[in-house]
Amino acid sequence: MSDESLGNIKERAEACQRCPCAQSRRRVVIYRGMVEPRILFVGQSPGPREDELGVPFVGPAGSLLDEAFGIYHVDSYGVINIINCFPPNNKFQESFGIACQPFLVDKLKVFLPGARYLVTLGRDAEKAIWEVQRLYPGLFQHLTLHHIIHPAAVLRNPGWRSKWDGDWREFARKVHESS
Amino acid sequence: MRAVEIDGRGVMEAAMAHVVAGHPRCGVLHGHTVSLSMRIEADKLDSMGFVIDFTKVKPAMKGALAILDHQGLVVAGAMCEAVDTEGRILVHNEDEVYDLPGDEVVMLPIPAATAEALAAWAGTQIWKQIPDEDLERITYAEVTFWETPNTGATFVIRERRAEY
Repeated sequence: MSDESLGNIKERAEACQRCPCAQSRRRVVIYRGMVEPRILFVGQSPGPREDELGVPFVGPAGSLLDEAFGIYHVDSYGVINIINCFPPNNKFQESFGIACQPFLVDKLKVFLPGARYLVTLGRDAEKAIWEVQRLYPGLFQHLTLHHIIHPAAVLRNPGWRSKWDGDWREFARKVHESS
Repeated sequence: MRAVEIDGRGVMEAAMAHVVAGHPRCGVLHGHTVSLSMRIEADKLDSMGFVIDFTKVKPAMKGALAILDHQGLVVAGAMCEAVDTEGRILVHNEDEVYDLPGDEVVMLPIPAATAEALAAWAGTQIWKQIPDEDLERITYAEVTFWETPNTGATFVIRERRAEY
């Protein structure tokens, strides 16, 4: 990973005024994880805790994700979101994803060349990644894609916990069989 | 960033026999004088001014090597079958079966007795011995399992992290 690239992305994001999230954010939220992650997780948008700290997945959903990393022995991970900023009223809109797509592409260009798996968390991330994959198929050629329900959805609806566990078991099997 | 390196080649060694099932050359029983080396990085030093006190790492490295040293055949646990209450073990290696006393077989929870798997196993063994206060400061750690003085496999125990 190039520190310069991520530093540059962060600087540009801090100056970005492309969508209403520029008014609702306190800090831009770019990346947390290993310098060269083998598995890149892509979520939807920063929440209030992430906005406060400027780091992705450090709120309740992040705790659930970290718990899964421990249970399923995922050591080499990185996490990003499809948008860099806390959205107004904590409500994601597709238009924010469209405005933020150039940043998403830049983040993927930093991490995907060294990664082996890309995991989308939730439908919005999955759709955003499909769109980038359509535009930049070469970025994804070497990757295995996987989808897992978003941890925030599990926290809102505990009935989805079994789907969360099932998604993770399937992913962990895929990763550990190939290693 | 500060770093220390401990190179055990020539000074911290173990004599071990192994077999890599299915490999045309290494599938035949053979032996090595193996050793370990480590690199550990931290952003800040401890109260003594160390990245980590060598005396905390070296015994852990020696401990891992002692499990292998002159202990018999080192194999993946899945290749082994207990045959009787006397402790004899059958080691299945493709079409061959070795019938050995149990105390001459080192069964490890690894997929194969390759340098790569042994590096990961040794890294896990060593990591368990590192005190929590050091683990909190360590930003990167790797161990290399040397099968010969110039042929080894490296396992990254802790990867470098970033936040942006």
